[in-house]
Amino acid sequence: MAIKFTVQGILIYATMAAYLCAVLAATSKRKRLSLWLYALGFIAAMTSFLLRWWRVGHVPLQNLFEVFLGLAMLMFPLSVFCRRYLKVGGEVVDMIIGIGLLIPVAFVFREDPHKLPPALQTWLFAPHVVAYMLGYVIMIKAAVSAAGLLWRGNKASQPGLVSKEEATYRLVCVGFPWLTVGLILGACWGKQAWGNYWNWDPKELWSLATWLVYVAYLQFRGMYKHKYIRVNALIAIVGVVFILTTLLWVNLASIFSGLHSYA
Amino acid sequence: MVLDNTSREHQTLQWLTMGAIGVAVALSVYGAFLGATRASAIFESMPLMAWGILLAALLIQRLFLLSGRLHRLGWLAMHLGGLLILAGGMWGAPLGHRIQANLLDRHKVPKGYMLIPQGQATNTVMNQQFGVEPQQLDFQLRLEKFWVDYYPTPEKADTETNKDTGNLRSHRQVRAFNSQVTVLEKGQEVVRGVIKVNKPLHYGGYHFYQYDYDRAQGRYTILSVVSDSGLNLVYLGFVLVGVGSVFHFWLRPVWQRIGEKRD
Repeated sequence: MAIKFTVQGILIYATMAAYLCAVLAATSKRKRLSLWLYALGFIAAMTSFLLRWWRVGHVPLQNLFEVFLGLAMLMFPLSVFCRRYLKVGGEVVDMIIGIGLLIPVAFVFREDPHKLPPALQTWLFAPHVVAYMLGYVIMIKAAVSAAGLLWRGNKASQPGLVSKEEATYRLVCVGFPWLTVGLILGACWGKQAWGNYWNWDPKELWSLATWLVYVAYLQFRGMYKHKYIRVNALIAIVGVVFILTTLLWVNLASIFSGLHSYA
Repeated sequence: MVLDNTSREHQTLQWLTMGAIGVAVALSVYGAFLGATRASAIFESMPLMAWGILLAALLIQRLFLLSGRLHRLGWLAMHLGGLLILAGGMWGAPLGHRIQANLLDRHKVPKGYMLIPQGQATNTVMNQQFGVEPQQLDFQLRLEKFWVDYYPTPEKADTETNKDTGNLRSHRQVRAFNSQVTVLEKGQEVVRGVIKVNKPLHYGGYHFYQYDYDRAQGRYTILSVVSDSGLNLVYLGFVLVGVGSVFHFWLRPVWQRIGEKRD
C-alpha cells in the first residue's frame, strides 16, 4: 500500500473523487450535476492515461496498473453508449465499478514504467488487449443487470429503459463479439510469438471457458427466451466469475504460472 | 412452447448442444488446473480427439437441422468457422500427422526443436518428449549469426529496483533475439532470413521460431519447428467465426432497426 505523489497519481485520485461526487450527486437526485462530474472524472482519467502513454512510449496496456486505469476510463463512454443506444441504465453502478477499479491502481499496483519485452512487440498487442477490456467491462455491466434482476425483479429501474433481462441480453450481445475477437487475435499472436495458436496455457483455457459460458448463455436464452429468466441471469453472473478468474487469479497466483505470466 | 423449433428432434439437438458446451467448459477448467504441459498431453490424446470429432459432428448436425432460415448468415459463418477450426486443429495435431503419414504417405514432423551452432547447418529436429527419436527434415538450416539487441540503458537509476542492485548489466532489457539463417536444399542456398520473436521464418511446410539460445556465450540458437498442416483451415475458421459474430450480434440488429425506422 502506497500513495502516489506523481502527477499521474494525483490525476487518478482526482478521477476517484469526481466519480465519488458523481455517485453522491446521483443518489441525491441531481442527475445533470452527476453526469457533469462523471464526465470530469473521465477527462482526468484520460489525461492520466495519455500521460502514461507519452511516458512509456507504447500503448499503455502492458500490466494491471495500466489496464485497470484504462478500464476505469472506459466506464464513462460505456455508460453513455448504453443509455443512448441500448436503453440500458446503471450509471451509478458503473461509477462505483470505476472507483473499485481505481483503488488497486491508486494504492496497490506499482507505476514503474516497463519496456516491452520481445514477445509483446507486435501490432496484435493493442487490439487483443483492447478487445478483451471492452468485452470484460460490458460483461460486468451485463452481470450487474442480471444481479439486479435476481435481487429486485425484472422491472426496469427507470421509465424509458428496457427490463433487466433484456438489458442483460443486449449487453451480452454487444460484449460477445469482443470476447470472440479477443480470443482469435490472441490465438494469431500466439502463433506468431510462440509458434502455436493454441498452447493449452491456463490463461488460454480460462478465456476459452469464459467464452463458452457466454455461448451457453446465448444457447440457453435462444432455447427458452423469457421462460427461465433467473437461469439466464445466473449464467451471466457465472460468466463474470470466470472473467475475474481469468483476469486476476492467473495473473496473481503462482499455481497457474504459464506463458501469460508477464501480463 | 418457447423452443425455436417445436419438433422433438430439434429439442434433443438443442439440449445436446447445451450438454456439449457444459462438458467443454468443464474440460477447459480442468486443463487450466493441470498446467500447459500436462494439459496439452491430455488434450492431444486419442479420447479427447474423439471428443473433438463428436463436437464436429454436432456442429454439422446443427448446420443441417437449424440453418433453415438462410438469412442468418452470421450464424452459419460462426458454425462453419467452428467446424473448420476443429478440423484444422486435429489435422495439425500429432495424431493428424500420423494419419497423413499413413494415408497420404506425407511424412512431416508435427513439432520439435533445432539446435544450430553458429556457422553450421543441420536438418535434425529433436523432440522434447523422452524417448522420441530425432527426425530429419528434407532441407537444412544454417545459422549465419545469432545476436541480442538491448534497449538503451536508462540515463539515471530512478526506479526502486535500480537502487536495490548495483549491477548495471542486469537492467539491460532485451529488445530482440535474432538468428540469421540460410535454408539449404541439397547444399544449395535457397532462402535467407532473420528469425526474431514474433517474426518466424516460413519454409517447406514449416514455421521456424526463435525459441532459445546459448545464454552463456551466444554461440548457438535453438529454433522451434512447427508444421503448418491444417493452419490455413484454422485461419479461415477464425475469420468466419470473427466476422460471423460481428455480423450476427452487431450488424444484423442495427440493420433491422434501420429497417424498422424506415417502415
